[in-house]
Amino acid sequence: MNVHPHPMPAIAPPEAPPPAPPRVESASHTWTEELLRGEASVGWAAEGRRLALAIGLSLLFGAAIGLRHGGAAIFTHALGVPAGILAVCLLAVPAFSIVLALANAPIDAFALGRATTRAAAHAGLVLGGLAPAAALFVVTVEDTITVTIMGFGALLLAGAIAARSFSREIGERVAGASPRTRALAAICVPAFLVFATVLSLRVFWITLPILTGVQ
Amino acid sequence: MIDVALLNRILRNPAEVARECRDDVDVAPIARNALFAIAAGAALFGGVVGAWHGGPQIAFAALKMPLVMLGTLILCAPAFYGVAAAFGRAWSFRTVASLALVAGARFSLVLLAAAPALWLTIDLGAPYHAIKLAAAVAYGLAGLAALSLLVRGLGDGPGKHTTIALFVSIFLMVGGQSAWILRPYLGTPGQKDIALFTNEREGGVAVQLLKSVRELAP
Repeated sequence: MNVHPHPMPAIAPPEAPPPAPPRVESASHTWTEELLRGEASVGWAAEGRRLALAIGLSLLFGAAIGLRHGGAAIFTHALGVPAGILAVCLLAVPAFSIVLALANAPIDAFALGRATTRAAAHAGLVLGGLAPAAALFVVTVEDTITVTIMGFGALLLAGAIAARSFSREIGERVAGASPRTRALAAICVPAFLVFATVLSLRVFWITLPILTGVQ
Repeated sequence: MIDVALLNRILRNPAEVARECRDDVDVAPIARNALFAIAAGAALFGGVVGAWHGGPQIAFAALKMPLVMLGTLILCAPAFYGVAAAFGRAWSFRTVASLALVAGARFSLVLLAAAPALWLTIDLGAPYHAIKLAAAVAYGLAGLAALSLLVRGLGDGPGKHTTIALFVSIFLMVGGQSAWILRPYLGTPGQKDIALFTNEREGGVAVQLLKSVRELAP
């Protein structure tokens, strides 16, 4: 069978539909992704917003604990949890920056600030997520010891997750440094984390009387 | 309308349903059907548990069991969201909630399957402690079925085992406390009065567990 293709088609063939836009991975552009990672090139203002969000989320956990007594306790406990996080950010991290400078670690103030706000965001997100469960426990459990264990357990979990985020970020930056700097960082980072844990627990001990049972 | 094929897929092919939740593909019907499965499965199992005492206890337990399941999922979902994000799975809340609902549906469907066996155990006159044990075994099996879906849903990647361990711990603690505050379901031997909620002040579930451990210890 001979087929003679038409040299010039009388009617232009219909245009092919435009290709469908590539499917966006749901995990890559979520609000959570922005909060925990964000862009590397943005400035202090974005880091400040990230810290503010972290504080806001941790405030929810504090308010949930305060529900045990209600009234003013909600307000005071809501402030108590962020106080522990802020104490680490404002007291421990600046001190740590001096230690890092002494060790000649290739970490500038902004990189340290970003590692700090990201760690705070991790802690805030976990604490905010645990707030409804915490509210259930503090309202329905009669004995104080369960509330203490549950409350400090949640705070320690959030602290451990924040510490993991912080040490990973610092570790990545120190990885390419001199052996001396790496050796010093291997001592300084765990020491800082211990200091930050003790400092935040001390602040929680003072500001969260419902968890300590001291009224 | 209930999508039986979807419920069948939740049982037979949890990896596929979990992937759909993760990719945010048609999660609204998945969530709707999962909610139905949770409510129906837990209510029927609750009714069977309440059948040991009989009378109004059947209705009370059938009403409270879905409340415990749904309440626990509502309270746990934000925690799951936070923990998953902290361990490298920064998904949307919708994704996490749909995964939790589907896992809950699988849990309830297994409870539904266990309900006739439990009812037969009660009907044959098994003692109180045997029924408690049978119900606990059913819960354990249902938990394993839900866990296998959750494991597939989390996918591969760093922090998977820690995330699962934290999910399970949070779910057990919140679920235990939710169940505790809405007790009784089975009732106790010799109990005459049947109440929707107990008035006894017995501390929390953790205190009771500690007491039981102390009593069992030599």
